[in-house]
Amino acid sequence: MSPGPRRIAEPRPARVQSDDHGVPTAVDGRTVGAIRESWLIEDRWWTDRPLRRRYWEVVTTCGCNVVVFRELQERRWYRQR
Amino acid sequence: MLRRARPGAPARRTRRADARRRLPRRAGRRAAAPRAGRPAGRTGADALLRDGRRRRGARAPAAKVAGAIDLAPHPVALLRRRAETAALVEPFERLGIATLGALAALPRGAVADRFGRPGLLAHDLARGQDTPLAPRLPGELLREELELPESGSGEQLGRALGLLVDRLLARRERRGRTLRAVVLAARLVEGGTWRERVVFREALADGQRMRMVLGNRLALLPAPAEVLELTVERFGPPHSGDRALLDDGAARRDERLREAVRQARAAAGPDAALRVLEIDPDSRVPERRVVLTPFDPGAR
Repeated sequence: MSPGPRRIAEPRPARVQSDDHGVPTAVDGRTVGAIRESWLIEDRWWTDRPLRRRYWEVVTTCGCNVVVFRELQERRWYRQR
Repeated sequence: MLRRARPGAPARRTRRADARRRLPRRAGRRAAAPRAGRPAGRTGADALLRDGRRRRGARAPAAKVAGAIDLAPHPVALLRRRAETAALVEPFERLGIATLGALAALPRGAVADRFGRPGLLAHDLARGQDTPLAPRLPGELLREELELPESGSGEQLGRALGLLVDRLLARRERRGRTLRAVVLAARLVEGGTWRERVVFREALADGQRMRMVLGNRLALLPAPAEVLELTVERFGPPHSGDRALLDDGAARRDERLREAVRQARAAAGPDAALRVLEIDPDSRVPERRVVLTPFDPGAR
């Protein structure tokens, strides 16, 4: 059998520091300069493995545009592009 | 040890010498005898099988070939094994023709007059004249499957089907052949399976046309699927390339591209040439939108 399809933009674990409200303040050691957007995704709630993510699109002080999300089920941060 | 010659000794030596002279001839006859027990046809094979069953435990003679003489003592009921002659067994038995030997002894013309073409076939079989045994060709399994963790249906399922078709056409084992019949199967979320056999109107290797034909069948799926599977059931002749009557160079470019992809895959493995395929472009979850799949130059 040929190799299966490979997904693009798989989430990768990220080191994110956040404040008391869960807003990211630093991503992989870089300070967040501005928050551009935030949105919530809830999907597959009808299955055994529901998906709940809080996304943040941020700009770090060095000018990088980064999208990170907090996996609300397992309470971990991921980076995704 | 030396022995004194006795009056009868020369005669004995002569007999031994004669036996030695005869030996190569005997050996030659043995070598010429059939060694493998290959029966002449299906009826012969059936007769040998019956023989083997009758003397269970005893080893069947290796050099036996079932011909008219071997078949002679067997009952005409053996003819029931062939659909064409099965109906003749009863009339044969009613007429007192109990064995194949008795049938073979009848004049061919008389058998033809009374029983027609099936009678002639039965007569041939009784005389050991049968079509040769042909080995069964082993089946070739070419299958691709795709797990759908999001319980695919609708447009997403159509894209998954497109991906399966691409992967099936990219398989090296296809060896450029077209596909004549495929089986589209799915494992359903609610349990159970679904299966649909699709025979193409003409053998094809065009991914777009296959997607169009198979896409219509996907509409028959009774419930969302968690696994989609596509299996080749029968191959067609090798792909001719579907060249246009007036070649404008595009075919040559395609050919060069195909060869380049082939060489790249030979050098760097099957992941050497991939294309981005949109699975669910409007999905809110980014990793579900696109996947990388084998690049098929013919499917552009």
